Amino acid sequence: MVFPAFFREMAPGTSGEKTLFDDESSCFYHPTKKAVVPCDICGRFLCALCDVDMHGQHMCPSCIDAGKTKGKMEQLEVERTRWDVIALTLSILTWIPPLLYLIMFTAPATLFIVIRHWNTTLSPVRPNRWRFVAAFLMAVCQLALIGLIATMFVMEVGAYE
Amino acid sequence: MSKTPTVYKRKLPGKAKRGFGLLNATGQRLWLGPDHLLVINTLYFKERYKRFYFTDIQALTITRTTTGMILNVVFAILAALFGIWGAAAFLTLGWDPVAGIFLEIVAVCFLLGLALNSLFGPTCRCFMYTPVHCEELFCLGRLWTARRVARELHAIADTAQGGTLDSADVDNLAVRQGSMQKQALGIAASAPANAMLQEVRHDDGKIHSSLFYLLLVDAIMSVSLLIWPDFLPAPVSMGFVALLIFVTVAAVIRQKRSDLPRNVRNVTWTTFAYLCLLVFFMYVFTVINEFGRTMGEDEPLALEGLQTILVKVINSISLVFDLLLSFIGLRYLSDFRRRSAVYEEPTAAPGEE
Repeated sequence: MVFPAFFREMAPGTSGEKTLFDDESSCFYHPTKKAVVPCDICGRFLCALCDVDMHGQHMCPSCIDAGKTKGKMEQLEVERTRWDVIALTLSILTWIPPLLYLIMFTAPATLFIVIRHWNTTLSPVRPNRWRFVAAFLMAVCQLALIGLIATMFVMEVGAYE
Repeated sequence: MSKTPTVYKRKLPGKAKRGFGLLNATGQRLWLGPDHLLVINTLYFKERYKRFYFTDIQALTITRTTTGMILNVVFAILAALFGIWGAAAFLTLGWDPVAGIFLEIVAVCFLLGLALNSLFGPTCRCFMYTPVHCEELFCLGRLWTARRVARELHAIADTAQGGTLDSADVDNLAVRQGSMQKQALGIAASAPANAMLQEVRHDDGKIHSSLFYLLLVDAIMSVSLLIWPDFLPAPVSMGFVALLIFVTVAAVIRQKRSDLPRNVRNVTWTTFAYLCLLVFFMYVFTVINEFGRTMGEDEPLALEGLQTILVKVINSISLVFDLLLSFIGLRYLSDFRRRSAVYEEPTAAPGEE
């Protein structure tokens, strides 16, 4: 199946035109080259070489780099860790009988993950926090269970003495 | 910088995993964004995103594969094997009915697999092309789903790219088809979706062709054993199976990071799985044989009939698998060699840059 873009010629790359007059505005990164557009983020003048067209938005390489490293530009984000899935998996797995003994470690770990990563960006396609809520509730239940068992144990020991 | 998150309204059909079990299973899903298609590759708890803008998508190719058919044949043979085995245990040999029920349950599981595989439809491979990239959409592994998604994408991308194709474009298509096929050939030999760019080594497939010819020889031996059960002494046939396993392992090692197409690799892996099953059945047969001999010292056991049936069943299955795998493997290999010859780069003349 072929789309119309298949027959579109690719635009040739440009290296930037040199400035001819002293009063011509030049590129922030290449002072000898003519500025063609300002950066939409920082406002620096850019030549054709430095201008990056991100679907209608003109940006300079440093703004793109900053946006990518700080995760502010969604278009440049290529990876996310699903902390909500990790928390939920951890809280569910510990109900399996052989792993039940790990509950005293996994329940606090689940709570830590939920609280620490509550504000982190979730999956872009299903950005709801129900997994965090479910993991939190389960971890609280697990901690309550540990508390109950500990209380019963203390009472038993007290009665025995 | 824009902080408004993109809203993905709809998930496109198709969900698949690639890789073996829990070790390296990459899942893939497709979501429709306002101006792009989001491809999400999931590995454990990490999601990796690729955005394909509708204005950049050039083409979508769907190639029908025989994987589904091969899977159906394998399921059918295994279901028949366990069904016959279970029925034999029930009816003729006076075995424990629990064993018969267990075998029948296994047969029903294989039948269920066969039914589900048939229900999902034929298999295919789907590639999406942009001016600088070719991405395999392995979540569209079923033909009907791939066609549905292609139709939907076609409508959206046509609108985004402003118009439909005219007759001059269609005439131009044949010229560019060759380069696309070449690109697809390179992708077909590539490693899993999450792998980084790796050096691909050329393989002429000699070990693979030896393996497929050895399978043909094994088929001839199976026919001979079906007609004359004492045609070959047991150590000779077991030695031949050992040789087959050795060559298969060599082929599996050899095909790693080579440019052999995925279908040849799959046939090699299937051969490996089949040989493992064969060795398992041979082991079961030996255990039954020994059990009958040991117990038969005190009182005669009705295991002779079972042994005869087992020998015939193993030889028949071996014959079917040998023929299937060798013919399919040799055919794919010859296809690969022919394509390699067609798309081989012309070597530069001496002194030419």
